[in-house]
Amino acid sequence: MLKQHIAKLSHSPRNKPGDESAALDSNPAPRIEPGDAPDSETQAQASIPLSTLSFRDLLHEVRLDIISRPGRNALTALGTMVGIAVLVTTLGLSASLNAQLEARFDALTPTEITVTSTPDSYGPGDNLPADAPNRALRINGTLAATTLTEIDSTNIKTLTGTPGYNPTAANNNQLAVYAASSGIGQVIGATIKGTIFSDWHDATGQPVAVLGRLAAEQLGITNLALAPVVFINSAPLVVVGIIDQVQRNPSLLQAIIVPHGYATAHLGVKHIEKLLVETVPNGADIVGNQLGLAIRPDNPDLLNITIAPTAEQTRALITSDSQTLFIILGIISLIIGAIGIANVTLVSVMERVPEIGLRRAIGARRRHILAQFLTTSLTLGFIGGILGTETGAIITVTAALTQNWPPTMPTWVLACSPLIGALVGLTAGLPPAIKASRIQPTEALRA
Amino acid sequence: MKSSPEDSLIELDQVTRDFGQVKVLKGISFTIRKGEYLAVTGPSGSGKSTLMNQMGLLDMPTSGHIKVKGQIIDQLSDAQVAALRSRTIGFVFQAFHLIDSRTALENVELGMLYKGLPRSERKERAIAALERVGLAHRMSAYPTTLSGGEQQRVAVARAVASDIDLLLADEPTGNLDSATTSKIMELFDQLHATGLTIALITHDLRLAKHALRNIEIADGQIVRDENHTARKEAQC
Repeated sequence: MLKQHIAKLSHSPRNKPGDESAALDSNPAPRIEPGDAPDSETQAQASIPLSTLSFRDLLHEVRLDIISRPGRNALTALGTMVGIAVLVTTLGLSASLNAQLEARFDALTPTEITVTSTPDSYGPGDNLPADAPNRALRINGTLAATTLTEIDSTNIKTLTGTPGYNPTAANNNQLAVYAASSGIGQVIGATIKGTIFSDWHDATGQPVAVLGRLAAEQLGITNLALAPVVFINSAPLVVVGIIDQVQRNPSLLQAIIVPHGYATAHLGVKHIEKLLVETVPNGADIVGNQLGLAIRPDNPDLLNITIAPTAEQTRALITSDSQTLFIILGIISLIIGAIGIANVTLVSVMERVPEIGLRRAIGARRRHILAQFLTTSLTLGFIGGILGTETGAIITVTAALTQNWPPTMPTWVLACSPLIGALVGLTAGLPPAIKASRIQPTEALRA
Repeated sequence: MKSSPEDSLIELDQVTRDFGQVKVLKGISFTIRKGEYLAVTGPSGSGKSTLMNQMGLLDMPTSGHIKVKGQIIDQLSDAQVAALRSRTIGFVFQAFHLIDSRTALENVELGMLYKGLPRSERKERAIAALERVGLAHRMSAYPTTLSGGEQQRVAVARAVASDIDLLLADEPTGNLDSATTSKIMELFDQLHATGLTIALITHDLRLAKHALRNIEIADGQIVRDENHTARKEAQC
């Protein structure tokens, strides 16, 4: 008679009617959860099988929780989604911008090679032969080549412009004087009024000169039509051209350039200081590798070949600057998302206080409540993370394409973002979940 | 009132419960035996709810001891008490405490969630329990579409679906009209007739008349404890 209702309902062998001791003493011990085994307590107490919640049941509860409040949970996930989307977008756009900058910088990659003599080599001046520019030009990929030698100021006694042009600037010998070959204009990317001296001027040591714009102003020379002349050590040199602008070597704007042949003959120049070579884009490495042998096949080691590194350094600088800014932005938006999750989870906990009390009354342990709320917020964070990753990827592609940047997304961003979302959900859900797990059933069930 | 230890389901021994300076329970001792139909009555503020929390193992006494099936619970860990509570006592509350977003069946199944039963068995038992309270036809209805009486039946089904020893009902009809109340009371009578131990906590003396034993408390103490029927306890 006693417990007939149970016999009718129960299909389990547990707690047979009339077997009073069975309920507590004969239950199999393995149902005690690990970590909860009360080692210091009596055997009878240790035999109480603790409440359990299987992982499958936990997920089922979480699923019901999530679908039962679709609007609110969608909003919660939206918070993470926005945060992750901003993070992914910023990282993606930063990667795309970098790809674009790289493409731009590729166009600006060094095309300039400087060849100098290695110190301590025998016979200074003999290491770079006079025909070095021609030898360099034989290499495929070389656009222009020139020698460039700064003439020692002790060799310049006087330097004046055309007499009468600028009487106050009688002696301007603080201006640098360079000896170069005819390729100089092309190598430095010069825009020239007039012309650069020719190979013939160079080879025959003709008294001609090209002025940098600033040097010309200083000497009072502005009009080439008047056939101006500069005097170096009282010898007249006809100004054939004025360099208006340069793409490289801006110091030459303040200099006077004479043919190397003239400098050798009249200005005491005994050797070539350096050879400048201009190559096609991305050709500097290949040309640079061949220059030594082309110029000094007998002993390439006498030469010091340098490729301008400036563009690479600039790129590295820009890249790190933009990355830092973008990552800070993404983290800020994630924190906002996390606050959203924490808030909504907290509201949810407050709303569900009676339900939590009921669950505790029907056997749920604190950890079950904790696990349920944590798993819910983790899941919402993960879903938000996935959606945010997708959104961020779409925004990145759209924005990059409208800017004509190559859309670029690091794979680790795509792989990690949903996990970051889950982590945000977990972290944000922790305080409310702990609060939920501490709810006392007696308070919660008070109607 | 004397009983053999095997009969004893829940035993309160000089239980007191203080809330700060306020002594709500002042030394309560009684034993609920298997198969009893008990009503605890008393006016508001008499300590009924506090006593119910003690009987339901939802709260620990300030002093005194509670034994459940011979086990003194103050020696158990919180997790063990929770386990013992869930397997011994089924609760029915005035506010029903159903989850609105879940069907009647899912609400009943929830009652067995933490008991380590496979889901298929939980479902079978839940269906049987709903049949038992006469709600098999409303199984997939949501609580908001059920009447108050139906909701309380779902709550009762949730409590009795697992093999509990004691049904503890706290003002189970407090939110119901009189016609529905008498139907719910009929249900309790039927459940008792099938051998379930029932403890009603109510301020309503008409409900208490359904019970075979009445304990009246006032000001935190038992002022009356009487059996209406010299019902012989079955040993099954």
